[in-house]
Amino acid sequence: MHDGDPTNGAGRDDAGRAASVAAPGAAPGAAPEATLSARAKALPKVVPGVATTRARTWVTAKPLRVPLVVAGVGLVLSAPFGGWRAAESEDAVAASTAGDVVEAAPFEVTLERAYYSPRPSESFPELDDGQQYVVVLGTLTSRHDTTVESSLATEALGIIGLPEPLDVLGNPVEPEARVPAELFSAQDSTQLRRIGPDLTYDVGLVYRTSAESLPAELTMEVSGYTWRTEGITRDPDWDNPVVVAEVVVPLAPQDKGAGS
Amino acid sequence: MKPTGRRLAKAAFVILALIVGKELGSALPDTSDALRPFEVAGSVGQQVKLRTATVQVEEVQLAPILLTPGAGYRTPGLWVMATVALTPAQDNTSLAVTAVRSADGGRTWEGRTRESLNCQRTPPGVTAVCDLTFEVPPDALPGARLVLATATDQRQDTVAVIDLGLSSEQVDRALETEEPLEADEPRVGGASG
Repeated sequence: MHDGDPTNGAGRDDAGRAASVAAPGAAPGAAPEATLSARAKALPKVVPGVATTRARTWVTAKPLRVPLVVAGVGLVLSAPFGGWRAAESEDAVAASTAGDVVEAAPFEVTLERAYYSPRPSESFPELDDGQQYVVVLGTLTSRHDTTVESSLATEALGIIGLPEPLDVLGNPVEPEARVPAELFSAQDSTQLRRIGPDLTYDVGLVYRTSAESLPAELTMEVSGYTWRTEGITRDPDWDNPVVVAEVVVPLAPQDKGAGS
Repeated sequence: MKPTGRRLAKAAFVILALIVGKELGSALPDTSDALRPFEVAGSVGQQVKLRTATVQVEEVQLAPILLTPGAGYRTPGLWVMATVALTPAQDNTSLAVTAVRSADGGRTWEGRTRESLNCQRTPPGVTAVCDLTFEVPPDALPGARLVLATATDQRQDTVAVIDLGLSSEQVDRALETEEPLEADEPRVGGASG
C-alpha cells in the first residue's frame, strides 16, 4: 500500500536537497514517470530577478563545496600578486670570487685570502702546542645608519671546511656548531667591537684550529640580514640571516716577509 | 538600488574606510614621536644644561691616528677626540650615550670600543673631564654634531646636541697631519692626567 503523496511527506533536508521521494510502501515496478515528476517538483526553483543563482545553488548544495570554491577563487586571484611564481630553490646561492664585493645587508664584504700561523704577531695570544691561527683577510663596510656591534658581522660570515676548529678558549667546536670568529682591524691589530657607518675597514677574521694539515682553500658563507620589527618588543633590528653568497679563498702559510 | 548594487556599495565603503584609516595612521604622529627626547643645542665652549647634568665640550681635535693609554688605533676615516666636562646635578650620573651625528642627521657614529665611553662618576657639583673618541668618515665631519645623554633611555629626557664647528678646511688639514691624538685617562675637576 502507498499513500497519494509521492514524497511521503519527506520534504527537504537541511541542505535543501529533496528528500528521497521513493514512496514508502510503493509497489515494485511503480511508474517511473511519476517518480521523475516528483523529483522535478522537488528541485529548488530558480526565479529570475532573485539573488539566488544556479552557481550559488550548486556551491551551497553540499557542505564541502563552499571551502573548496573559496580556496579555488583565492588561488586564481593570487596569480597577479605572485602566488603562482616558482619558489626559489634553497640551493640557489651565488658563488663569488675572492676579492669581489658581496652585498649582504647591512654590510658590503670582500674576502681576499687566508693564511695560517701559530702566532701571526705579538698582538696574538700564544696558543697551546699543536694549535694555530687561521686568519681570513678582507674588507668590511657597514651601510646601516648607526653603529652596529661587530657580532652582527662575525655571525654573518661563516667558515666551511676548517678542520678541527676550536673556540676562543681552545676547546673543540661541535661538528654542526658555528665556528666562532674574532674580528680585528688589520690596520692596527686591535679588536673591532663596533662598526660605524660608511667606514671601510681592512679586517681579519681570526679562527683557531688544532689540525696539523690544512686545505689549500676555504669556503666562506656570507649572510645578509633583514631590517625588521621584533615581534614582542616592537624594536627594529637586523634579523633573519640568509646566505647570499659563498666565497672560496686560498689558504697558505703566513708570508712572514710580506707581513699578514 | 538593486540588491547586487547595494552589496557592491557596502564592499566599496569598507575598502574605502580601510584605505582612509591606513592613510590617517601613517600621517598622524605615533607614540614614538611623542616620546622623542628634548634636544638642547649648544656649541664648543658653551655650557649646556640637561635635566641631570651640565656638559661642556672644551676642545675638539682631529687626526688619522689615536693613542690611548691601552693601545694605538688607526682608522679608515678620521679620529675625532672631544674633551668633555660633565658636572652632575644628581647622584650616580655620568655619560650614557655619546655619538657624532652627521649634519643632515642621517648617520651617527659611536665609539669603536666600550672604553670610548669611559667617563668617571662624580658627586653632584663635581666636574669630571674625559676624552671621547669617535672615528668618522671625513666627508661627514663638516657640520657634524656631538650628541651627549646621561641616560640610555632618552625618551622624553634632555639630550645635548653640540655643534662641533668643523669646516672642510679643518678636515683636509687633519687628513694630512702625522701627529697622533693622545687621549688622557678620565680626570676629576678639570685637571689633566
